[in-house]
Amino acid sequence: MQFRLDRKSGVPAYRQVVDQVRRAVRLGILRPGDQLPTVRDVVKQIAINPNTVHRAYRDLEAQGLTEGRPGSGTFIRRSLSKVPEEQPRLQRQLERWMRTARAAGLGEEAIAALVAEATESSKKEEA
Amino acid sequence: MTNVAALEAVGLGRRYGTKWGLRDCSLTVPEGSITGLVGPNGAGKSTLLRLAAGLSRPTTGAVSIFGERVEPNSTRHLRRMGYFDQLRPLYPGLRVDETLRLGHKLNQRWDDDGALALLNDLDVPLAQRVGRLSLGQQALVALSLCIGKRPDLLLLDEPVANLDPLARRQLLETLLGTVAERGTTVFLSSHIISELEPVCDNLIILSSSTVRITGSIEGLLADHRVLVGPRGDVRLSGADVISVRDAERQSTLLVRGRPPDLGRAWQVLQPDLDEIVLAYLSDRTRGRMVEPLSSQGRPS
Amino acid sequence: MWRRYRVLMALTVVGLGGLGIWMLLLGRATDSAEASFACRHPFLDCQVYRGALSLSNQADVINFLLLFVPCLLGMVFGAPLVAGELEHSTNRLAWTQGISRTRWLIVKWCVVGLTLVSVVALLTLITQWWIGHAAERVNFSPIEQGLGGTPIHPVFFPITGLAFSAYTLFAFALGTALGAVIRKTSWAIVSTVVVYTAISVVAVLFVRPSLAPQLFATGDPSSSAQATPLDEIRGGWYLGFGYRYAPGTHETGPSADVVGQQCAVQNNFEMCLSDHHLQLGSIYQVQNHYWELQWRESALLLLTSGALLGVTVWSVRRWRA
Repeated sequence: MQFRLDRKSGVPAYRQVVDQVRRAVRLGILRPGDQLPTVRDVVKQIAINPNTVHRAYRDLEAQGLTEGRPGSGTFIRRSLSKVPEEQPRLQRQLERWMRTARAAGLGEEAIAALVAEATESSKKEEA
Repeated sequence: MTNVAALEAVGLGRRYGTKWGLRDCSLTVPEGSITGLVGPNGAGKSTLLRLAAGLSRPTTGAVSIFGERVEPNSTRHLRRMGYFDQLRPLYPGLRVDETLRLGHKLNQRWDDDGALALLNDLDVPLAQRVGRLSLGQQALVALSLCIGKRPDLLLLDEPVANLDPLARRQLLETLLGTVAERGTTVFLSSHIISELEPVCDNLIILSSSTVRITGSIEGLLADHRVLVGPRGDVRLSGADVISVRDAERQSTLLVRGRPPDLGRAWQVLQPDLDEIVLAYLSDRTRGRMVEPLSSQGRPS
Repeated sequence: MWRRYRVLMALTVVGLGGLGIWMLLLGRATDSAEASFACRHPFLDCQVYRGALSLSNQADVINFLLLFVPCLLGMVFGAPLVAGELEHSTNRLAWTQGISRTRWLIVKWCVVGLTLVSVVALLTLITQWWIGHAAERVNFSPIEQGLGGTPIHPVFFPITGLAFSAYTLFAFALGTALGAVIRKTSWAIVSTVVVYTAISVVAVLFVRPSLAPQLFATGDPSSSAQATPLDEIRGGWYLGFGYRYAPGTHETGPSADVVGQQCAVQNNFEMCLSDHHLQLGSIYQVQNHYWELQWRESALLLLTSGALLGVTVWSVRRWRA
């Protein structure tokens, strides 16, 4: 998998690495049993402190998402999404909505605000 | 991990005639960390690095590498250290492979294959004379000379200054790759904060030949706040004010530690690293420690 | 390390090699010319002396150039040895690897210095031969009645035997030391030339004459009636005329030269001399003192070179960024 570092987002680098791994697992790019890129490989893609990568991998291990096998590397332990089959359909629906919103003239900020509000309200519903 | 610091300076100072290049510098660089030295030109960064490399003799204090005291005419500290000078000196008449052979002859430990492979991967022509290479390629050759001796500590003086973005990226990647592989401790200087932030664990801010503050980047960010409020003579009890900027109707302060509760008129914001560094560069008081520098070594 | 000097070394070998070949050719030409009928009869047209490019003039030019060789080599190889590194800051690279400054310097100095000495030693073989075939004969021409033309003569002494190599080492050591102390190649080159020339002159005028016992031949050197044959003086190194107390009559008091000069301004010069038991005669070094002088002068040069190396090491260890 490929990593990207967004230096302007204000999100710490190690968090970005953790989030990107989680996203990759969610989207099925990484499946249980797949090996994560080595620290060396990550550093080659994005020039960040290797200690940061170590930390991110330790975090993922603490979350139970990955496991380190000595001598071999770090491997994905489980998947994240509860309904993997529904994912492509939901993704397509979301993309359709996006196009509609854009056509209606909504900018990135407005869309992000809508998504944030929807997340908040769904959290309240779940609680 | 041992308890010996990769680099330790105690009361280190260097005077040139009547002027101090570096004054009363005490710091500890933990093993396995990447520490950045930031400050304006002329602040003393190069002086500190040259003292650590043994090219200069201190006027006051001492500096040691992995417990070995650094002396200009001794070789004990040279074994575990690689030094990258700001001028990136190389012999222009020598070819790249001949330069590496020079490294082989002058060092006890040398990884010839590693150094050659490194330059090969970066498309540096091995048979070309060093004088004809581009600036970026010369920097990579200079770096491979440092890395080839398999040091435990790398001292780099402005390694990416004046390099084009591609060369800068290649150099940083190479450097960080070595750290990833071998857990090398890195101590590098720059006057551009944005270059150091994604790469460093710890930061040392140097200005006017003195250390202003040292600490982990995370710690520095967590420990400072920006306060914005109405202009006036505000006495903040118990707050450590680093800098004050007054505009027509507004004052902006940078404080260290927990900011006191000043009421609704004041905003409390999180500064970014640039703001913190700039504030310390303009402050006149001596350096203070936020917390011991973090030593994030490799997981066992 | 050799590779950095490859161009310079190549030029040096070519230059000195060319000089060597010239000497060999000239020697051969002179040999055949002198064997020819014209040169054995003094008033015929002998090609050894004919024209601007005559063999004799060429020999003089070669001699002149050879005298400069040690200084030139010292300048070119010695001055930048340390100064060049300091000027280009490559010492910051060399001194932060794995060997000490002292070891770095001594290895570099020895490699370059010994190479130069070896090259010049080879050239000396040619020079020794050349003196016997081109130079010496030239000075024995019937036209020039001057003294000299043997290896002990100051024009030939420093380019033969051990002295050629010793002077080269000395010039190299001098150039290196001045470069290390002055830290600028250009100034080091200038000062090397100045100091080397001064030392060479001092060596000839003041040191060498005393390195072996001087001989005294009574009588006027140009008159035919004297105890020592003229050839021995001519075959040696004529140092000038002087006074001495006759053997066995030395008195304490003022030196022979002082008294002799007082006599010289008086009318009855000869009587004054005999009254003070003084003798007037030629002072010279005899030819078979040649090797004694060579050994001693070379030893002095070697010791001085060692001292200069010490100065260079001290200067390098003292350097601070």
